[in-house]
Amino acid sequence: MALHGSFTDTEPEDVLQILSLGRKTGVLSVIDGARGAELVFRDGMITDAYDGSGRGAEVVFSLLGNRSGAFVFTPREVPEERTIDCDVPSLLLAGARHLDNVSQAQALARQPAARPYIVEGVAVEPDRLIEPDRVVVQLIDGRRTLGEIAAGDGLGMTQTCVSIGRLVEEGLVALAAAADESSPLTGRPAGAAPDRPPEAAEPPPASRRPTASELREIIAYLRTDPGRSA
Amino acid sequence: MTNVKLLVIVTNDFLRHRLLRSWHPFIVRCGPSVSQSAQEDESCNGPVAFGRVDVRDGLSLCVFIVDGGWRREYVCRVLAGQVYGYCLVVGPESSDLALGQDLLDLLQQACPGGGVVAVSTPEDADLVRAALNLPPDAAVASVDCDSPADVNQLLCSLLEHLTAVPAA
Repeated sequence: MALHGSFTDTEPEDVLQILSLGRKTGVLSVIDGARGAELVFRDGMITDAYDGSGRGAEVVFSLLGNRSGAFVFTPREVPEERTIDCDVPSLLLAGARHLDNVSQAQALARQPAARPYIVEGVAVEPDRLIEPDRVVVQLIDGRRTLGEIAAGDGLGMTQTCVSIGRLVEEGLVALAAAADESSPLTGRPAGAAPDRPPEAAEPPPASRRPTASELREIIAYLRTDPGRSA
Repeated sequence: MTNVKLLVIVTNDFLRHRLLRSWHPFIVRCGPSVSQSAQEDESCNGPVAFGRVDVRDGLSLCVFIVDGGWRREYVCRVLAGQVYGYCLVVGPESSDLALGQDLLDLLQQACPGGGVVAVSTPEDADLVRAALNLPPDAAVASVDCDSPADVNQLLCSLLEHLTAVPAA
Protein backbone atom coordinates (compact mmCIF):
# COMPACT_ATOMS: atom_id res chain seq x y z
CA MET A 1 0.00 0.00 0.00
CA ALA A 2 1.36 3.43 -0.90
CA LEU A 3 1.88 6.15 1.70
CA HIS A 4 1.04 9.63 0.50
CA GLY A 5 0.30 13.14 1.76
CA SER A 6 1.60 16.68 1.91
CA PHE A 7 4.57 18.09 3.77
CA THR A 8 2.41 21.02 4.81
CA ASP A 9 0.42 18.53 6.95
CA THR A 10 3.17 16.08 7.88
CA GLU A 11 6.75 17.01 8.69
CA PRO A 12 9.35 15.49 6.36
CA GLU A 13 11.20 14.17 9.43
CA ASP A 14 8.09 12.22 10.49
CA VAL A 15 7.66 10.66 7.06
CA LEU A 16 11.32 9.61 6.91
CA GLN A 17 11.17 8.13 10.39
CA ILE A 18 7.95 6.19 9.64
CA LEU A 19 9.63 4.62 6.62
CA SER A 20 12.76 3.95 8.65
CA LEU A 21 10.96 2.34 11.58
CA GLY A 22 8.90 0.24 9.19
CA ARG A 23 12.15 -0.87 7.49
CA LYS A 24 10.52 -0.04 4.17
CA THR A 25 11.98 -0.67 0.75
CA GLY A 26 10.81 1.52 -2.11
CA VAL A 27 10.87 5.07 -3.44
CA LEU A 28 9.58 8.24 -1.82
CA SER A 29 8.67 10.69 -4.59
CA VAL A 30 8.28 14.36 -3.77
CA ILE A 31 6.60 16.86 -6.07
CA ASP A 32 6.84 20.54 -5.29
CA GLY A 33 5.51 22.63 -8.16
CA ALA A 34 7.75 22.03 -11.13
CA ARG A 35 10.45 20.42 -8.95
CA GLY A 36 10.65 16.78 -8.05
CA ALA A 37 12.90 14.56 -5.98
CA GLU A 38 13.12 10.87 -5.22
CA LEU A 39 14.50 9.19 -2.11
CA VAL A 40 15.34 5.50 -2.33
CA PHE A 41 14.80 3.36 0.77
CA ARG A 42 16.18 -0.11 1.37
CA ASP A 43 15.19 -1.83 4.62
CA GLY A 44 14.51 1.54 6.22
CA MET A 45 17.83 3.09 5.18
CA ILE A 46 17.99 5.91 2.65
CA THR A 47 20.43 4.64 0.03
CA ASP A 48 20.04 7.23 -2.71
CA ALA A 49 18.37 10.58 -3.36
CA TYR A 50 18.24 12.70 -6.46
CA ASP A 51 16.48 15.70 -7.93
CA GLY A 52 16.90 17.84 -11.02
CA SER A 53 20.12 19.40 -9.79
CA GLY A 54 21.95 16.88 -7.68
CA ARG A 55 22.28 13.57 -5.95
CA GLY A 56 23.11 12.33 -2.46
CA ALA A 57 22.56 13.60 1.06
CA GLU A 58 22.27 17.21 -0.13
CA VAL A 59 18.94 16.34 -1.77
CA VAL A 60 17.61 15.10 1.58
CA PHE A 61 18.89 18.24 3.31
CA SER A 62 17.13 20.35 0.69
CA LEU A 63 13.90 18.46 1.32
CA LEU A 64 14.21 19.07 5.07
CA GLY A 65 14.82 22.76 4.41
CA ASN A 66 11.93 23.34 2.00
CA ARG A 67 9.17 21.54 3.95
CA SER A 68 6.70 21.82 1.11
CA GLY A 69 5.26 19.65 -1.63
CA ALA A 70 3.34 16.41 -1.93
CA PHE A 71 4.83 12.99 -1.37
CA VAL A 72 4.03 9.41 -2.22
CA PHE A 73 5.92 6.32 -1.13
CA THR A 74 5.79 3.36 -3.48
CA PRO A 75 7.03 0.02 -2.14
CA ARG A 76 9.09 -1.71 -4.80
CA GLU A 77 12.42 -3.31 -5.50
CA VAL A 78 15.21 -0.74 -5.70
CA PRO A 79 18.66 -0.80 -7.31
CA GLU A 80 21.66 -1.89 -5.24
CA GLU A 81 23.52 1.35 -6.00
CA ARG A 82 24.14 3.59 -3.00
CA THR A 83 25.07 7.24 -2.82
CA ILE A 84 24.07 7.48 0.85
CA ASP A 85 24.87 4.85 3.43
CA CYS A 86 23.42 6.17 6.60
CA ASP A 87 20.56 5.46 8.97
CA VAL A 88 17.73 7.98 8.99
CA PRO A 89 18.32 9.37 12.53
CA SER A 90 21.96 10.13 11.65
CA LEU A 91 20.89 11.70 8.37
CA LEU A 92 18.31 13.87 10.15
CA LEU A 93 20.97 15.01 12.61
CA ALA A 94 23.36 15.82 9.79
CA GLY A 95 20.50 17.64 8.02
CA ALA A 96 19.77 19.75 11.09
CA ARG A 97 23.44 20.62 11.35
CA HIS A 98 23.57 21.47 7.66
CA LEU A 99 20.52 23.76 7.96
CA ASP A 100 22.11 25.48 10.96
CA ASN A 101 25.27 26.03 8.93
CA VAL A 102 23.33 27.43 5.99
CA SER A 103 21.29 29.70 8.22
CA GLN A 104 24.47 30.92 9.93
CA ALA A 105 26.14 31.43 6.55
CA GLN A 106 23.20 33.49 5.31
CA ALA A 107 23.46 35.68 8.39
CA LEU A 108 27.20 36.05 7.85
CA ALA A 109 26.76 36.93 4.21
CA ARG A 110 24.76 39.98 5.25
CA GLN A 111 27.83 41.57 6.81
CA PRO A 112 30.59 41.37 4.20
CA ALA A 113 32.61 44.07 5.99
CA ALA A 114 33.12 41.95 9.12
CA ARG A 115 36.70 40.81 9.68
CA PRO A 116 37.38 37.22 10.79
CA TYR A 117 40.48 36.63 12.89
CA ILE A 118 42.22 33.64 14.44
CA VAL A 119 41.39 33.41 18.13
CA GLU A 120 44.35 34.29 20.30
CA GLY A 121 46.24 31.29 21.61
CA VAL A 122 44.80 28.93 19.02
CA ALA A 123 47.24 27.12 16.77
CA VAL A 124 45.36 26.32 13.59
CA GLU A 125 46.62 23.22 11.79
CA PRO A 126 45.44 23.61 8.18
CA ASP A 127 46.26 19.95 7.54
CA ARG A 128 43.46 18.79 9.74
CA LEU A 129 40.82 21.00 8.12
CA ILE A 130 38.63 19.99 5.22
CA GLU A 131 39.54 21.52 1.88
CA PRO A 132 37.32 24.65 1.75
CA ASP A 133 38.13 25.53 5.36
CA ARG A 134 41.84 25.11 4.66
CA VAL A 135 41.63 27.57 1.77
CA VAL A 136 39.62 30.08 3.79
CA VAL A 137 41.72 29.94 6.94
CA GLN A 138 44.87 30.80 4.98
CA LEU A 139 43.30 34.11 3.98
CA ILE A 140 42.23 35.06 7.49
CA ASP A 141 44.65 37.64 8.84
CA GLY A 142 42.41 39.87 10.95
CA ARG A 143 42.54 42.60 8.30
CA ARG A 144 40.74 41.12 5.31
CA THR A 145 36.98 41.45 5.39
CA LEU A 146 34.60 38.61 4.75
CA GLY A 147 33.88 40.02 1.31
CA GLU A 148 37.59 40.23 0.48
CA ILE A 149 38.16 36.65 1.60
CA ALA A 150 35.22 35.46 -0.48
CA ALA A 151 36.61 37.32 -3.47
CA GLY A 152 40.04 35.77 -3.01
CA ASP A 153 39.34 32.16 -2.13
CA GLY A 154 37.52 31.20 -5.30
CA LEU A 155 34.72 29.60 -3.31
CA GLY A 156 32.11 32.33 -3.48
CA MET A 157 30.35 34.11 -0.62
CA THR A 158 28.06 31.28 0.46
CA GLN A 159 30.72 28.58 0.74
CA THR A 160 33.13 31.02 2.36
CA CYS A 161 30.51 31.86 4.97
CA VAL A 162 29.74 28.17 5.58
CA SER A 163 33.45 27.54 6.16
CA ILE A 164 33.88 30.53 8.45
CA GLY A 165 30.77 29.48 10.37
CA ARG A 166 32.34 26.06 10.95
CA LEU A 167 35.63 27.60 12.06
CA VAL A 168 33.81 29.91 14.45
CA GLU A 169 31.82 26.98 15.82
CA GLU A 170 35.02 25.09 16.49
CA GLY A 171 36.48 28.03 18.38
CA LEU A 172 39.33 28.62 15.91
CA VAL A 173 38.06 31.88 14.45
CA ALA A 174 36.11 34.84 15.77
CA LEU A 175 34.57 37.80 14.02
CA ALA A 176 35.22 41.47 14.46
CA ALA A 177 32.02 43.32 13.68
CA ALA A 178 32.17 46.02 11.02
CA ALA A 179 31.81 49.61 12.19
CA ASP A 180 28.08 49.74 11.52
CA GLU A 181 27.07 46.14 12.09
CA SER A 182 26.62 43.65 14.89
CA SER A 183 27.79 40.07 14.64
CA PRO A 184 25.11 37.50 13.84
CA LEU A 185 27.16 34.92 15.69
CA THR A 186 27.68 36.81 18.92
CA GLY A 187 24.97 39.45 18.78
CA ARG A 188 27.51 41.87 20.19
CA PRO A 189 27.28 45.49 19.10
CA ALA A 190 29.92 46.94 16.83
CA GLY A 191 33.28 47.36 18.46
CA ALA A 192 32.50 45.31 21.55
CA ALA A 193 35.76 44.15 23.09
CA PRO A 194 35.55 40.37 22.53
CA ASP A 195 35.04 40.90 18.80
CA ARG A 196 38.04 43.08 18.19
CA PRO A 197 40.69 41.60 15.95
CA PRO A 198 44.17 41.02 17.35
CA GLU A 199 45.63 44.20 15.95
CA ALA A 200 42.93 46.39 17.49
CA ALA A 201 43.58 48.49 20.57
CA GLU A 202 42.30 45.84 22.99
CA PRO A 203 43.36 42.23 22.42
CA PRO A 204 40.68 39.56 22.76
CA PRO A 205 40.56 38.10 26.24
CA ALA A 206 42.14 34.72 26.86
CA SER A 207 39.79 31.77 27.27
CA ARG A 208 38.18 31.95 30.67
CA ARG A 209 38.93 29.17 33.10
CA PRO A 210 35.70 27.31 33.87
CA THR A 211 34.49 27.47 37.42
CA ALA A 212 33.96 24.36 39.53
CA SER A 213 30.20 24.96 39.40
CA GLU A 214 30.29 25.03 35.59
CA LEU A 215 32.20 21.74 35.57
CA ARG A 216 29.61 20.23 37.94
CA GLU A 217 26.87 21.55 35.68
CA ILE A 218 28.41 19.68 32.73
CA ILE A 219 28.74 16.51 34.82
CA ALA A 220 25.07 16.71 35.79
CA TYR A 221 24.10 17.25 32.15
CA LEU A 222 26.16 14.30 30.90
CA ARG A 223 24.54 12.08 33.51
CA THR A 224 21.16 12.79 31.95
CA ASP A 225 22.43 10.71 29.00
CA PRO A 226 21.92 13.52 26.47
CA GLY A 227 23.04 11.34 23.54
CA ARG A 228 19.91 9.25 23.85
CA SER A 229 17.67 12.23 23.16
CA ALA A 230 20.01 13.93 20.66
CA MET B 1 30.68 31.97 26.73
CA THR B 2 32.59 29.14 28.37
CA ASN B 3 33.87 26.28 26.22
CA VAL B 4 35.38 23.60 28.39
CA LYS B 5 37.79 21.86 26.02
CA LEU B 6 38.91 18.34 26.80
CA LEU B 7 41.18 15.93 24.98
CA VAL B 8 40.45 12.22 24.78
CA ILE B 9 43.54 10.55 23.41
CA VAL B 10 43.69 6.84 22.63
CA THR B 11 46.54 4.47 21.90
CA ASN B 12 45.17 2.94 18.72
CA ASP B 13 42.84 3.98 15.95
CA PHE B 14 40.42 1.12 16.54
CA LEU B 15 39.65 2.53 20.00
CA ARG B 16 39.13 5.95 18.45
CA HIS B 17 36.61 4.59 15.96
CA ARG B 18 34.70 2.85 18.72
CA LEU B 19 34.62 6.02 20.79
CA LEU B 20 33.45 8.06 17.83
CA ARG B 21 30.60 5.67 17.12
CA SER B 22 29.53 5.86 20.75
CA TRP B 23 29.77 9.63 20.81
CA HIS B 24 28.42 10.11 17.29
CA PRO B 25 25.46 12.37 18.19
CA PHE B 26 27.88 15.02 19.40
CA ILE B 27 30.56 14.84 16.72
CA VAL B 28 30.67 18.13 14.86
CA ARG B 29 33.49 17.36 12.50
CA CYS B 30 36.38 15.03 11.75
CA GLY B 31 39.42 16.39 9.96
CA PRO B 32 40.74 16.36 7.39
CA SER B 33 38.00 14.51 5.53
CA VAL B 34 34.32 14.72 6.35
CA SER B 35 31.77 12.59 4.59
CA GLN B 36 28.82 14.48 3.18
CA SER B 37 26.76 11.36 3.69
CA ALA B 38 27.39 11.51 7.45
CA GLN B 39 27.70 7.75 7.48
CA GLU B 40 29.28 6.79 10.77
CA ASP B 41 32.23 4.87 9.41
CA GLU B 42 33.05 7.45 6.78
CA SER B 43 32.57 10.43 9.03
CA CYS B 44 35.21 9.00 11.37
CA ASN B 45 37.97 9.13 8.79
CA GLY B 46 39.89 12.13 10.02
CA PRO B 47 42.60 11.83 12.64
CA VAL B 48 41.18 14.54 14.89
CA ALA B 49 37.48 14.47 15.69
CA PHE B 50 35.77 17.34 17.40
CA GLY B 51 32.57 16.94 19.37
CA ARG B 52 30.50 19.45 21.25
CA VAL B 53 27.75 19.26 23.83
CA ASP B 54 25.79 22.46 24.39
CA VAL B 55 24.87 22.27 28.05
CA ARG B 56 23.06 25.59 28.03
CA ASP B 57 23.43 29.05 26.50
CA GLY B 58 26.94 30.15 27.36
CA LEU B 59 28.29 26.77 28.47
CA SER B 60 29.58 24.06 26.16
CA LEU B 61 31.73 20.99 26.48
CA CYS B 62 34.13 20.56 23.55
CA VAL B 63 36.00 17.29 23.15
CA PHE B 64 38.84 16.42 20.79
CA ILE B 65 39.07 12.67 20.20
CA VAL B 66 42.45 11.75 18.78
CA ASP B 67 44.59 8.72 18.01
CA GLY B 68 47.80 9.39 19.92
CA GLY B 69 49.78 7.47 17.33
CA TRP B 70 49.03 10.19 14.79
CA ARG B 71 51.47 13.10 14.93
CA ARG B 72 51.93 12.80 18.65
CA GLU B 73 54.09 15.91 18.90
CA TYR B 74 51.32 18.06 17.43
CA VAL B 75 48.67 16.41 19.52
CA CYS B 76 50.54 16.52 22.76
CA ARG B 77 52.32 19.84 22.46
CA VAL B 78 49.80 21.96 20.55
CA LEU B 79 46.38 20.42 21.03
CA ALA B 80 46.97 19.39 24.64
CA GLY B 81 48.10 22.93 25.37
CA GLN B 82 44.68 24.24 24.36
CA VAL B 83 42.57 21.94 26.46
CA TYR B 84 41.55 22.08 30.07
CA GLY B 85 42.21 18.43 30.78
CA TYR B 86 42.94 15.14 29.10
CA CYS B 87 41.89 11.53 29.28
CA LEU B 88 44.36 8.93 28.07
CA VAL B 89 42.64 5.68 27.07
CA VAL B 90 45.09 2.80 26.85
CA GLY B 91 44.39 -0.36 24.87
CA PRO B 92 45.46 -3.91 25.80
CA GLU B 93 48.35 -4.60 23.40
CA SER B 94 52.02 -4.11 24.18
CA SER B 95 52.17 -1.38 21.52
CA ASP B 96 49.35 0.43 23.38
CA LEU B 97 51.28 0.28 26.64
CA ALA B 98 54.47 1.62 25.05
CA LEU B 99 52.64 4.45 23.31
CA GLY B 100 50.63 5.16 26.46
CA GLN B 101 53.82 5.72 28.44
CA ASP B 102 55.18 8.18 25.85
CA LEU B 103 51.88 10.00 25.62
CA LEU B 104 51.47 10.35 29.36
CA ASP B 105 54.90 11.94 29.69
CA LEU B 106 54.10 14.45 26.95
CA LEU B 107 50.61 15.18 28.24
CA GLN B 108 51.83 15.84 31.76
CA GLN B 109 54.20 18.47 30.37
CA ALA B 110 51.74 20.07 27.96
CA CYS B 111 48.52 20.09 29.92
CA PRO B 112 48.86 21.66 33.34
CA GLY B 113 45.20 20.98 34.11
CA GLY B 114 46.04 17.30 34.38
CA GLY B 115 43.92 14.37 33.46
CA VAL B 116 42.98 10.77 34.01
CA VAL B 117 44.15 7.44 32.66
CA ALA B 118 41.64 4.82 31.56
CA VAL B 119 41.83 1.30 30.22
CA SER B 120 39.60 -0.19 27.58
CA THR B 121 39.45 -3.53 29.39
CA PRO B 122 39.07 -3.48 33.20
CA GLU B 123 41.43 -6.38 33.84
CA ASP B 124 44.32 -4.37 32.34
CA ALA B 125 44.34 -1.74 35.09
CA ASP B 126 47.28 -3.20 37.02
CA LEU B 127 49.23 -3.79 33.83
CA VAL B 128 48.73 -0.17 32.78
CA ARG B 129 49.70 1.13 36.22
CA ALA B 130 52.96 -0.77 35.92
CA ALA B 131 53.65 0.17 32.30
CA LEU B 132 52.95 3.86 32.88
CA ASN B 133 54.85 3.96 36.16
CA LEU B 134 51.77 5.01 38.08
CA PRO B 135 51.65 4.48 41.85
CA PRO B 136 49.99 1.17 42.81
CA ASP B 137 47.04 3.01 44.32
CA ALA B 138 46.63 5.45 41.40
CA ALA B 139 43.08 5.65 40.10
CA VAL B 140 42.72 4.10 36.66
CA ALA B 141 39.27 4.37 35.13
CA SER B 142 37.86 1.79 32.81
CA VAL B 143 35.71 2.52 29.79
CA ASP B 144 33.71 0.35 27.43
CA CYS B 145 34.35 2.33 24.26
CA ASP B 146 31.21 0.86 22.65
CA SER B 147 28.93 2.22 25.34
CA PRO B 148 27.74 5.85 25.05
CA ALA B 149 26.89 5.87 28.76
CA ASP B 150 30.38 4.64 29.62
CA VAL B 151 31.99 7.34 27.47
CA ASN B 152 29.87 9.98 29.19
CA GLN B 153 30.91 8.49 32.54
CA LEU B 154 34.56 8.72 31.55
CA LEU B 155 34.14 12.42 30.74
CA CYS B 156 32.37 12.88 34.08
CA SER B 157 35.32 11.21 35.85
CA LEU B 158 37.71 13.59 34.11
CA LEU B 159 35.57 16.62 34.98
CA GLU B 160 35.33 15.46 38.60
CA HIS B 161 39.11 15.11 38.65
CA LEU B 162 39.44 18.64 37.28
CA THR B 163 37.07 20.14 39.84
CA ALA B 164 39.45 18.81 42.49
CA VAL B 165 42.53 20.43 40.90
CA PRO B 166 43.25 23.78 42.58
CA ALA B 167 43.33 26.84 40.29
CA ALA B 168 46.81 27.69 39.06
